[in-house]
Amino acid sequence: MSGQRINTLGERLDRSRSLRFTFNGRSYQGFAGDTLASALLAAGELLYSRSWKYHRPRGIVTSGIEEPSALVQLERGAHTIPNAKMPEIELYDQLVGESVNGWPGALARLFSVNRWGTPLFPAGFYYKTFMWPAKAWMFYERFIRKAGGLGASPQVEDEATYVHQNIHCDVFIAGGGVAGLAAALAAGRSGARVILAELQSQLGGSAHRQTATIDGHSASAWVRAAEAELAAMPEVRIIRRGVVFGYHDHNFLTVREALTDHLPLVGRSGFRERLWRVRAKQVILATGAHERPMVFGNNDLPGVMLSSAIADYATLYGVLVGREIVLLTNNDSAYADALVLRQAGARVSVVDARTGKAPAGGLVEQASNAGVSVLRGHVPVEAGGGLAVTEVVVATMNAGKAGDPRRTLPCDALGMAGGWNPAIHLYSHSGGKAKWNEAQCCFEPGSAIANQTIVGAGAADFDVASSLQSASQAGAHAASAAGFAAQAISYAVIEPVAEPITAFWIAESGEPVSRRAKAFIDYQNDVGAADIELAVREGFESIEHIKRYTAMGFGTDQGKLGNINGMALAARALNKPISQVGTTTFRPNYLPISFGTFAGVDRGDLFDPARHTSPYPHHVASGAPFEDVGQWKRPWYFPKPGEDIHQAVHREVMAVREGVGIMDASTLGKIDIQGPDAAKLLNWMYTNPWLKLEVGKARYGLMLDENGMVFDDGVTVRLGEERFLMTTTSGGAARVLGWMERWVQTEWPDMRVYMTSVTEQWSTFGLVGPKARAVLEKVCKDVDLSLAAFPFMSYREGTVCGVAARIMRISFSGELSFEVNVPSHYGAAVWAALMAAGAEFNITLYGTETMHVLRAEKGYIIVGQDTDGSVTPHDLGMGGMVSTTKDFLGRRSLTRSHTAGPNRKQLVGLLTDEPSTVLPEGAQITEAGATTVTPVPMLGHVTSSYFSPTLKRSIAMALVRNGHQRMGQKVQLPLVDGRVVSATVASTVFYDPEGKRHHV
Amino acid sequence: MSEMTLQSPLAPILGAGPRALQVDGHAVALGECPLMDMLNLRGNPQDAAFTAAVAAVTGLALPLQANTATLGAGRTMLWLGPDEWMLQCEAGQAAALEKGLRAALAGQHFSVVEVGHGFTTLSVQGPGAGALLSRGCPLDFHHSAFQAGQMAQTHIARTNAIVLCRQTGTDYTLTVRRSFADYLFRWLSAAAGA
Repeated sequence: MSGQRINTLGERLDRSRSLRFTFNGRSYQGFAGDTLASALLAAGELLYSRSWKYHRPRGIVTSGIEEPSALVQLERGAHTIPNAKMPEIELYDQLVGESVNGWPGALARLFSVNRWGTPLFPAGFYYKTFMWPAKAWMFYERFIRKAGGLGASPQVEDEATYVHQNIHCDVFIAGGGVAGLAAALAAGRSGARVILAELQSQLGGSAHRQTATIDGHSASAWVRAAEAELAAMPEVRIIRRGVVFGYHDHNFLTVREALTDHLPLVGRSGFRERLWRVRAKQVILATGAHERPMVFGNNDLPGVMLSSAIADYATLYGVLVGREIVLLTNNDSAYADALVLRQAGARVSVVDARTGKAPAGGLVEQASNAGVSVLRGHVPVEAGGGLAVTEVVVATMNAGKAGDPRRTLPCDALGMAGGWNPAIHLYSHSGGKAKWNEAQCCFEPGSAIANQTIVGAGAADFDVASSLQSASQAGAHAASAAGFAAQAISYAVIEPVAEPITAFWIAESGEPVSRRAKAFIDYQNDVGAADIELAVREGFESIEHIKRYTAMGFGTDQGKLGNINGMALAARALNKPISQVGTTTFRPNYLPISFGTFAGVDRGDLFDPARHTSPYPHHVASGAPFEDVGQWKRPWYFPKPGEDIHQAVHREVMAVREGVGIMDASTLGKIDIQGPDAAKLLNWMYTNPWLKLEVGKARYGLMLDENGMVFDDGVTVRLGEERFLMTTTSGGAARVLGWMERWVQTEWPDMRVYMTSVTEQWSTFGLVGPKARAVLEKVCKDVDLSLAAFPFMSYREGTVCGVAARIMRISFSGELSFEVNVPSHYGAAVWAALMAAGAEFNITLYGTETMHVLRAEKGYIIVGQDTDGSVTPHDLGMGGMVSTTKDFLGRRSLTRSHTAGPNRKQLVGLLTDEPSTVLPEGAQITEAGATTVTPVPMLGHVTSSYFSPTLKRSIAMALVRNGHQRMGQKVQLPLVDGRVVSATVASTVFYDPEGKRHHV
Repeated sequence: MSEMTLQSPLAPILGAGPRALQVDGHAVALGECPLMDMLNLRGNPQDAAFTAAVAAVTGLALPLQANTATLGAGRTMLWLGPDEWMLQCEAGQAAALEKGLRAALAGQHFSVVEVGHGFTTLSVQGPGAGALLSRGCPLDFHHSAFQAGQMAQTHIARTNAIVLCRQTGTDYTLTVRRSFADYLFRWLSAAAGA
């Protein structure tokens, strides 16, 4: 076999545009319109890879996306694509590719010993051999994967960009062949919104292989006219290079549109691929069919190809792969291929499994008349050749047996036309179950799911006239169902008289399959007919199990080429009809899809929103590192030059304790609650009483879930008789609002109360420390800030820095503190003004880390850090906040036997014996002293731990079993690094237990 | 009273005006309608006294059909739920409107909350506007499906947004919480290939 160009054919080529490319380090030339496969075939290349397990030489088998052997590592570096299929790569100038299964060089014979060692590599070989000992797999795997030689994954980030786009339509059509176009025309003429996706760069599907005429034109000419008509319809969108790779529930489909892969690397701009997310009222599947190879010995030799592929390379790309071509068939389609190849100048013989006389007016007759030699009643037994096919041995069919005489036919290219498998993959994605069509020898779609129609070869309708008619009717019906007045179009089709296919799965020569020359089913995974039989002998009966045991269909073609042969041979080995063995389930994705397509724009800093508070630009300018709190970016600490986090936090803490600090607390959740029943609602939400809170006063509350466990906390202010402002944790804001809405909407619809999130309406700045009042007095003249006039836990409205503000005297640090809330569009300006006002007091910026240390010194909890959904107020030592005189959410659960029982984990403080030792958060706690019990009983774990600059020692909070009864007792903490730290159980309030510092 | 500057969330990046983008060959201008005042309004739409009072004070009929808005001169009333609306108006009007509403609704069960500082509004204009939005939003932006006066509370990329069609096919606004504005602006720019 040695391919060469012919000038009379090649409808996709633009011979005026020559393209240069490099493959395996060698330079080649092709034409615009070539695929990588056609250009290499035209250059006479034969051998593209060595097979996975046996390292047999392999050539190109197909002209499409089902190609198993001719894989390429396309381009290098950031543009590299592993395992691209050569027939699907449109050639572009300066393309660079390397064969994938070629290591260590496609032609080297280093591993070809496997060819002679077949018994060493039966089905299930890897399961049986490399699984023991388990740890050795790590070693085997490296070797096997390298020798197996699938492509190399990219080592650098993909530079290409990707985008998603949602789109809706009345009628979605998968496939742009004759059937798909007929459906689109019928639907499109009604004005319906139609989307047609075709995976190739050009419409037409198999039209170029059809001998039929439509309304007096060749099928190809009809396609061009249809394309032009559709292009003029404003509501019709044709997506070329668009593979429908997933068909999900409710007619939701995903289509990958390749936008730049056909262009030279240097000329590419914009998105590489677009993922269309299609929602269709009606779906028409016109996905066509894949030709089936035939199973016979050495059917993997280079030069053995699908018959249709040999014809495609001639018709579309002007490449004749052989001069002496034998086509093996059991149906009519090989004769159309033979006619093309005759026309291209080859000597062509067709070996047909069918016996008897062909019908008059059929393709067989046409081919014979054109000089194709036809040998009926013969089936292939084995091919022969070294690095390429040189002959095929065929046997005579006699009463269903393949017997003598045998003939040897010389050839330099061997075509396989084993029938057609409808591409039922998308139908299968949608939940459809395939059924066996005995007459057509193929699996076809069973009943359609809702709002779906399947037409053309994809529905095992291989007749042009009836395909056109049913597709046009489907298009009209779909548009009508979507509310448009549509009519089917009639076409006058003249096509040859068809002769039925006959089943051929393997030559029934009487020899055991395992003794014959290797006959392949799945080329990429080196699964042969004997492997299927072995799997059956070893007890596998379900086709799903046989598939997994043999690895049939596991390759990059996902069994599109060989699986049906495998199923038929499994049925043969099981002595069952194929209909009872069934087919495996096809799942998305129809083709391999790059990760970038799924990521779309959502990568890098657009992977997830980063939420910023109003003074964010000031924080950035201050050089603060940021801590992620949910999606919020909060300043973590504000280092001075040369400071590390510990030094910065130490300075910030001391500034708050001794002077004044400022922190941005804007992320706190805030909910405005209005209505006559607002106080009643709060009384249900919180464990403590709320009905009698005075206007202008604030109160701290704990919120429990249905199980009585703390799930949020915060301070709520009574703004008016019927209006409150609730604050929640930063992370809990949405959950708390949803929780309250749920109760009001579903349980208490008569409660007259409305809730509105105002988290972002107000920017919240804490002025904290003994000098906080002095700072605020400079910028707030209309509120008496004295202790007597504005005591702790109260609220005032006033003007701060010229802006109407809400001021709360609450504290999360134990110090004198004013929380100033201003409308957020003023936030950046007010922040700057407060900094300026505080300058004379050396006002100090502090972040979340210092906030944590300050609150831990005071024993204030952080919900979600010191609690974990299993902690009650009593466990926290906050039982005093639980009212015994009213009902509230979670109350009943507090009386459950376990919740109210002994031995609960309780929040306590821990003081390490060695004051400089800071315990790791999460450290496990055990009883002091040696224990002989294994495993060692765990008492609990550390929830918060810091070095306290104020106390000049470490402090920690921990949940400890019966912790409240252990005050003053020793516990120990075995750490991951082997140290065992001893600590004393203490109160969680480490600093200012009397609370004198904030009552000033 | 104030020499304090108001700063909209996108002011730092959109100082020079809307960004010109191209989507599939169609122009899109991505900008901000900065510093609009907004009020969240709750009440009972079955109560004629409520709807009449709101119409009298705001000059806009309350949209009672789901996912619709009443577009007025410089003022828009958006449907957010069966008993919830958002009034968008020009800067500086919210306080007076809130006062007017409180007076007109006195004695009824209602809620008015100023929320304009918690949001900002992006404008997406031009023949490619729908295509750009469809890159991040599963809604149908076809002219037959989403027309002037229609709106939706949906998501664009990973942000909640109130999407309003002001002019069929060519003019949309996206009202988002202020902290998401920077992300959404950068996301939409990237989705246009910019």
